[in-house]
Amino acid sequence: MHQHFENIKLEAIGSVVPNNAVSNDFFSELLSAKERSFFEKTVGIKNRYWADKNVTASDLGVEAFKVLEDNLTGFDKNCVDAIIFLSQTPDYLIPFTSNILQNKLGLRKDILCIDINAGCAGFIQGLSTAYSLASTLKEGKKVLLIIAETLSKIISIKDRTTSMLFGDGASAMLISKTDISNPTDFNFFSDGENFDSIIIPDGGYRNMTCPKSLEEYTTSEGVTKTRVNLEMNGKKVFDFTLREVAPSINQLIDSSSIERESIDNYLFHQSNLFIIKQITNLLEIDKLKVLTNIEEFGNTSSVSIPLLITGNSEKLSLNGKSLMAGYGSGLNWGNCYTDLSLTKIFKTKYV
Amino acid sequence: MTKQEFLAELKENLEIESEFNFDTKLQELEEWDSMTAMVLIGYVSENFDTILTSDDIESFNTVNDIIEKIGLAKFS
Repeated sequence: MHQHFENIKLEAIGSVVPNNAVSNDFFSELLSAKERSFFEKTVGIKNRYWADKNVTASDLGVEAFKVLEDNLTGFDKNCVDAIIFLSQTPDYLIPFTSNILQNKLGLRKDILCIDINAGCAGFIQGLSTAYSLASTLKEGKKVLLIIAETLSKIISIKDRTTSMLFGDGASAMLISKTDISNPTDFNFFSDGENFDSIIIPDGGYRNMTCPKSLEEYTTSEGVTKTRVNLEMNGKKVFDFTLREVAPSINQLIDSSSIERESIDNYLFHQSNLFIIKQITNLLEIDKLKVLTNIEEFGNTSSVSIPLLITGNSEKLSLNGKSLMAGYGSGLNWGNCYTDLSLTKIFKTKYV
Repeated sequence: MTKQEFLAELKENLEIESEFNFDTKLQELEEWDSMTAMVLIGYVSENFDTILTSDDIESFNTVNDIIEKIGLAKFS
């Protein structure tokens, strides 16, 4: 699928991470010193932030919304006509979280509330949905997109293949119509055949939670986890990203009026530094245009690109033409080109 | 690249400290895990324009198998 918009913009964005840094020292029992050094050199993660036990993704989302409320001059929350909450770690199975946020954020009752369950490509999916909704709204009305994850809650800390990878965070964004022309293109891809490459096997209604779901077991590779923990086939996911992401970006550029040379920044999902370097090589692009923050935040799933934006506010305000690429669970991948110099970007806050 | 150079570069890139030759059983190496698989896929993609699949990785017993998959014609 390809989408094109002319007069919609990401008006403002604010992000938060929980102020609880977890360095690689925490995992010293899982990896030898040599393995840790290889991990830091290849995967590139040295730190991540994990939310407290009682803090949910939507709580972080509320904090991210406060960043907008506190900093965006003239922001009237009565202008919000729709709220999208995108996460794989919602508050409850029922009801959906955006409806809870309507009340918590003090938004009007005549509002559209939608939850999206999406993974590492989620920012692109969520932004596309927000742009689509915004294009139908009256002048001055806005879509609020909240993307929030607490992946720390779904990993087994005894699983060396996943526990060190993920971090928590949230971002709140406003999307609205603009008089300024802002050509924006999206494209999307899906490979449902490999749905089990990144999965929590139990807890849904295919495999309902039962006492066995919570029993720890150890795989032949020495990984200890339960069936309600996240499991990932790293080799399959790596092979997928290397094969699919770069061609899909080239396809977006070739099938739209984007001039390759005019792209100022590339914001790739921060899954793994080695993957980012491989995609950079395949696209034959200037490394200096590729923004990264994985060293500090780890993989925050759909929040990783928003955190890249709010971590580079000055740079993006000056030179904002950005190509953003999300890829991950589903398997699913998608890209977006837009100009972020039109966006009011507030620096990442530690809460 | 000669096969010997490939072997040496693989040993360096995968940071393998134990003995490593064309017939070393990859699965028996202490270093052989999903991270080394990732680096192997990346290295082969960069140098041979071939993207190994996860199924390929599972099927490799030795370095000779990797060379065979890449294609003997690509080695001098």
